[in-house]
Amino acid sequence: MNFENDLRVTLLAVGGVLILSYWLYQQVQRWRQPAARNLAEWLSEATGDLVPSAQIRLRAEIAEHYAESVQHYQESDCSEHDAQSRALADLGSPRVAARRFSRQYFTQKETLVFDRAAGRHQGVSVPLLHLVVCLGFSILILKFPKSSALPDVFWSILVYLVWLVTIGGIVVRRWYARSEPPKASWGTFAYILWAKTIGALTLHRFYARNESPRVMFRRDLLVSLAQSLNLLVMLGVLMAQVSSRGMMGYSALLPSFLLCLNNVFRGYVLSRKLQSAPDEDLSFPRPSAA
Amino acid sequence: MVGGMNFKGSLPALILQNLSGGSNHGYSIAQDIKKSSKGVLDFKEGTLYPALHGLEAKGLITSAVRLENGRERRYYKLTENGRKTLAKERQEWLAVSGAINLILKEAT
Repeated sequence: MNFENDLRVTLLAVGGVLILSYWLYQQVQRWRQPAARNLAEWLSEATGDLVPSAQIRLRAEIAEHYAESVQHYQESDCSEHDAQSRALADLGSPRVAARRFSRQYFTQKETLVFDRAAGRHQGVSVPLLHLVVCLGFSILILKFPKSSALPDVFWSILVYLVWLVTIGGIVVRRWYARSEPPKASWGTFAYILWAKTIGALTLHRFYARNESPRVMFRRDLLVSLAQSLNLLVMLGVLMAQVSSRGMMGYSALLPSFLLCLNNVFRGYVLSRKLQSAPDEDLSFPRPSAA
Repeated sequence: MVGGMNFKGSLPALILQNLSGGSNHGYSIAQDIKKSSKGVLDFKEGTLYPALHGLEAKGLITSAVRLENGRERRYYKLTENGRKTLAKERQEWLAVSGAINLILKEAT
């Protein structure tokens, strides 16, 4: 292995270690939070990540449960402070409860998946993330020339073209998410052509708007999964391009593969929740479901 | 007390059994289960609600809010579907626990 290959391995390894360290740091910070001292803290920790409708219902029921429990302990000669402590202990760990609740109800983070799939998420973070990734690839390509029949600049331009097409797709999708109901047009057709791997699903999105929120959500989820798989495979291929040949090239596909697996698993969890979620959990603002 | 033991898979069946005697609210369901098992089955009460809401989503129970002594309480009630599920689960449980009993008795 030569110096350039060593440097590539080091860069990829450092990147991987940094991402892993950040994730571990977040987990440790989460577990280092002090235990809940009162009901408000307990509810905040246990239900804070859930969608508002689930939060409202759980908070009301658990607050009522707690009040009854405190009253019961006070009737058996406990001081108010003792009764509150025992009632809070009976509820159990808010972290464990949060885990159980997040299996049953949608979290706010999960609803972003649907918002992104439907193009309702209007932030600039996604286009910027794409730009950063493309910049990174471009630097890698130019910094480490690869012996190939095609010039390195070609690969660099290709990366930016992919970025432009991706951003174009995002903009078009957002544009159509605004209109209610969307009209089929050449723009729609072009978008469907661009997203040919998800074409069938997209077509459904545009022509079956009057279905129930549950059906729409299921389709949003599939679109989102297909898109992320699409993007991740593309990233993997690009990474393999800029890496050296042989095992190094293939190993560059591993992070993409793992991310794909993670997405498929998350998709499975979300689809299970869709089966049992009450209608009010699916009713946060959705222009398409109005 | 076997609170540490993993009996959470049985919690929905215990809830259905409790509601077979009539409608009830969360706190009372938790206390009834603990009392009926003479404190052997202990569980953290905060986790009762995902189980209740899961049963409701499956159509095995229904719920309605009632005002009692100035307090809003959500009462849960068994549906016909829930009654059938309970009968089936009870049968399965009796068959499995009977078989396990036989094996454990043989071992002693």
